[in-house]
Amino acid sequence: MDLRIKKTGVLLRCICFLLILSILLSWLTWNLQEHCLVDISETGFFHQPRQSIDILYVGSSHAYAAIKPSQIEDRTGLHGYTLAASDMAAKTMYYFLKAALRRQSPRYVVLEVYSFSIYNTEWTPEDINITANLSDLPAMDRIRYAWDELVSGKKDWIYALFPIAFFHENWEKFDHFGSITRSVDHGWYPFGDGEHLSEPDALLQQDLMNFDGPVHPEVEIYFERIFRMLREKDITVILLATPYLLVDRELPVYRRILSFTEENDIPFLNLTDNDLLKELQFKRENMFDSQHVTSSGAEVVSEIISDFFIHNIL
Amino acid sequence: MSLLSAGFIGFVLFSLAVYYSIFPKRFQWVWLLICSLVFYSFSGLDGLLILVFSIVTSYFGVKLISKAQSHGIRKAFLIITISVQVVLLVSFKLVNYYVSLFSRFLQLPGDGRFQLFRIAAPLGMSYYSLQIIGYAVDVYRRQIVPENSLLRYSLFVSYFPQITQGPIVRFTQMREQLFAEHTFQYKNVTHGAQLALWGMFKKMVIADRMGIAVSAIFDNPLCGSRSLFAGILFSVQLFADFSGCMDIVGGCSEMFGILLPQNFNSPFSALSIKDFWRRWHISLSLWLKDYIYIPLGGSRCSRSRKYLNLLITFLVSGFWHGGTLGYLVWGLIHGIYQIVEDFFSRCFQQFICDAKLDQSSKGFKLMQKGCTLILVSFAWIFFRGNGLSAAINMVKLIFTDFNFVLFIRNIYHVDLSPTYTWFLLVATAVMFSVESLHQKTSIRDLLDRQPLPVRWSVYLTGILVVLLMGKYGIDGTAMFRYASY
Repeated sequence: MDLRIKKTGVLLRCICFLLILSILLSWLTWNLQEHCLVDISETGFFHQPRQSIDILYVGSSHAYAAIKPSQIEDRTGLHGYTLAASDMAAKTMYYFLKAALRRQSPRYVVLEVYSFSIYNTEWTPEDINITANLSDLPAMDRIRYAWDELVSGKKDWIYALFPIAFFHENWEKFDHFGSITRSVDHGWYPFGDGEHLSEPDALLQQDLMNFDGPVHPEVEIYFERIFRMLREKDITVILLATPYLLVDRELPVYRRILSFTEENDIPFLNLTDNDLLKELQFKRENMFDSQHVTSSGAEVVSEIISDFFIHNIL
Repeated sequence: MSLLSAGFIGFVLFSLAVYYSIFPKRFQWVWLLICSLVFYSFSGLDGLLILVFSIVTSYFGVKLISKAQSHGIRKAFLIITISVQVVLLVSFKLVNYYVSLFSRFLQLPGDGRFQLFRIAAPLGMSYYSLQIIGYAVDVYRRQIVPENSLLRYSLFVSYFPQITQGPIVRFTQMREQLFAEHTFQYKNVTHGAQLALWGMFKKMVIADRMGIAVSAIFDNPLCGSRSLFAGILFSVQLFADFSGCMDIVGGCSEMFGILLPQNFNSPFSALSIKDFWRRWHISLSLWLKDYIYIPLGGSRCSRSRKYLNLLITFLVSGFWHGGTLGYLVWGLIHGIYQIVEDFFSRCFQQFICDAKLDQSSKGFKLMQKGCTLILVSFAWIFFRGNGLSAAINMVKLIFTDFNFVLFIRNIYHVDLSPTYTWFLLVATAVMFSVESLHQKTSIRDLLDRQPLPVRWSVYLTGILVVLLMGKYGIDGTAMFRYASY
């Protein structure tokens, strides 16, 4: 009997210890992250005054390279912020938005559509996981996200609760994040003046095959969730495709977006259209690589967005 | 399976649970044997087969040694038993290297990439081979009675916490513990976990982070002060790495109620090279002493013969570490250190008397420790260097381009960020302080006397520091250096 009590005591002790450790670890890593990452320091989205943003731009690196909120604000008077993260998939976009809309009530949300087509490029849901975006997700509903991941049998749930599993590697140099200035200007992250690669030429001459194929089921689910959430909050949605080199496999997603925007009367500013880009005198020097625009490219894109708002929305 | 992987932690926890709760106490050793073989099989079936071959041949070899009546026959069986192990060890560890070296020297086709054996050296082969040889010699000397059971003997050779990197144990040290009945002791488990956590701190927080700086300097030494500094840093890295591993291994073993012998005893407190070898990799030093140095004649012979014995012993040590020219030069340097130390010891004593120096003073001891550290670090350059020519280049720089101011400044320019440099300095200071405190008092007793919140705070801090500052994950933890020997 004594032995059994003793064993139970030891077991209870172990459980208590592990519980305290888990809570401490989760709390500490999330807090460390907040202090180590420039993204979420004073200039970061979650440090912006509440209810101060008129336009919220959301998307992947395509968005944070191309959208310069201050330039758009100068033209339109709308205060904006680009809440973006590398390789953001539709699912992450949903959680980004969910977290963002708790603090802000923007009138407009601009969604960069690469996030919907990302699984139709070379990526799969297994490649894209939360770890790629954790640095940008301090206020995400991580418990809910972790639960979703756990239920769908993925192991990302552990990264969501204990981001250290991913981030400790980046603390190798500890102040590594000091060099990342993802938030140079309200979430805009300039990609420099361009490497002048050969692909940007292809962007202006791309001739896509009439490819047909499925839209990834996860994209469908989160696409629907995102729009439902924004509709419920009475937010005007604008879809944006920044200039980048499409691949044939992305076309089904673009078709889906086009039909959806037509059905629901949602504006879609498609800058992957090479005819439009030529008309706007977009040059190869405006592309950093096949996927991202340069600083000058961002100015062109932001100008187009401003014009679009002035002429079609405001 | 890496000792630092989550898989290993899970493996140990599962083994412990079965060990204490399911297996009858009389057969706990059978469970340990199963665990050991399963653990070893994770490194590949080829290795497991070679291990089993080594165990079986040595078991029967030793049986024959013990049964033979004639001294000559016993000796012949001993030579055969040892030869099998040595041939296996040399074949898997050295033949490829030397074949490649000679093919390069003779400019044979293949650019020195020719390999005689396509199988990599089995995990921990250097360690268990020495254990087997030591066991055979002990039986030959009639110092121990050989183990009758092949399975029990197999456990002695393959005991999983220590097979990969030692310590190199003797049968007499392990026999009682391995086959005894062990009841669950909360203290054993907590003390073992403490030790393993301390080992992880040394390995993952200090050694692997310091390794980044060490690699950067060894790849680009630039000047003599940087080269010597790299040697000193490498001393600390190697100590944190190897002693960290020994703590993890010892901690795991302690959880099973089996205590492994100490392999390190504050080597940075060594007052001489001789003293250093009494404190560094103790189990190997004792093995070399008992099975190489003393059989060669030890110190009970002429001075020249004694020096030759010393040189041979350290060359064997270099050979055991890998046999490359760098290791051999490292062994040779340590042999020469010992000879010089012995040769001039009387003159040195005379000088101290004449100069009326106080040998017991702290200043004198600090000087001795400093000199020993510099000499040892100098030799490590050959041990760690990226090939013999790179090591020679670093040594040349030490003698031709040494600047003391730069040497001090290097502390702040170790190819890590300033924040991390400071953190590493603090962590290293903590490591040496704890090691030093451990010499004076038992830290675990000190901890045991504290109330629960204090104890848990210490453990939680330790775990969090390892998890936050340790190097693991995407790039992976660096391999234990001594796992490759």
